[in-house]
Amino acid sequence: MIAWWDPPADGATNMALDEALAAEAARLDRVLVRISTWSEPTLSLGAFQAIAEARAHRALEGVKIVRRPSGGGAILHGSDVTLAVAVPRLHPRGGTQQLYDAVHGALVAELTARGVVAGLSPGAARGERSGSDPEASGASTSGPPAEGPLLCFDRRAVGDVVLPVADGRFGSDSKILGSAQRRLRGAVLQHGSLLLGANRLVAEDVRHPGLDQLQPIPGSDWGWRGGSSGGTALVRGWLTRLAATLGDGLETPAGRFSPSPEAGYEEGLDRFRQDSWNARR
Amino acid sequence: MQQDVRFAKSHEWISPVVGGVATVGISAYAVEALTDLVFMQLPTVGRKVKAGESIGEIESVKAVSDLYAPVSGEIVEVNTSLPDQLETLGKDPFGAGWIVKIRPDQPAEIEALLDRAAYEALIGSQPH
Repeated sequence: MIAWWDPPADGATNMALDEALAAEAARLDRVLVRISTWSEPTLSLGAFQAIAEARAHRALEGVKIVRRPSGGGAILHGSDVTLAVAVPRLHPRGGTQQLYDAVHGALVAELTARGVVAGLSPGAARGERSGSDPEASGASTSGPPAEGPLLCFDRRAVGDVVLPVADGRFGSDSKILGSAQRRLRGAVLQHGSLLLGANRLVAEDVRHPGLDQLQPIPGSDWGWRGGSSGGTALVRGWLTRLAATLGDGLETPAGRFSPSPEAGYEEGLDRFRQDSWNARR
Repeated sequence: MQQDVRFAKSHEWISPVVGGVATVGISAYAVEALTDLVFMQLPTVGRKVKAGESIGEIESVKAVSDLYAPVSGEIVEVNTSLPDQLETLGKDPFGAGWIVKIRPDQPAEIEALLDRAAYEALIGSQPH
């Protein structure tokens, strides 16, 4: 597994690099990971979320918007670390729930080793729609589920990483890691957002508590300031465990991820900057 | 599973050509792997596509997947009721859950796809 920790970037750049990461994972037949942060507060919409809902949200006024290739709910970036994991399509852990379990389980193990009480969500809470269920035997037979809340961190899916809280928005836990996938022909691209702190640059009603507020880790060095996050031992430990879970060693080359010309980065960058993509729904 | 359809490795099925037109859908295996479906985007009628080109997208609760044209040709009909009745894909993937009808440029392309036995061997080797 090869992992790069890239410098902060805008939404279009981050999405184009992540899509190129998937193309490279398919081409090289390797698991590739890109850790990214954001140069400005940005809302990343799920692949099919309606942009009108985000634009109508007063608390999100002025926030840049980019649409992800992956599904799921919108993420308000700025105080999180975003993990893009690209796995060759036929990798033994490349199944939908298997990949969620690998990434989320590795984080829970690393948090536990650092004294943080964390666990995996059983799924729906407070009337929320449920996430994909590893025990499910087939497709929905009672019609498609209704679209959930706009923001990912207001949703619950099976396997989301949660921390217990006394009086949280959902009563008993608060989500600090949610993920979504795009299953491409040659690779699976999974986005994950680890909420390190509450984003103080946005209004309180769209602000979710992160690790810093819930269970601060003594000596943690991410030092988020609403725009970028530094390197952390936590994330490095998470990656080491993830590599072991995926049956691979961890390589962390110097420098940023630099896709080959055939990965389609330039074309992707142009698309992620256009309204024809970002406002397609 | 119908005996006379062929399959792409990306899990689309295509019927034999009747009157110059073949029907395309996705396999029961693919629907099951996607789990709870929430949204589907279909192509427009009249679009010319090449084999392997994305002709639409489907979103389940936690993943988005592309739908690929199994052969080259022109889209001549689209199952426009499907996005509002996604459960049909799970209930009847080889019947009412059809997705598009395509006029193949080269019907021989269909013969090059996987037959039922080869497709079953493929899905037996894949992670869900």
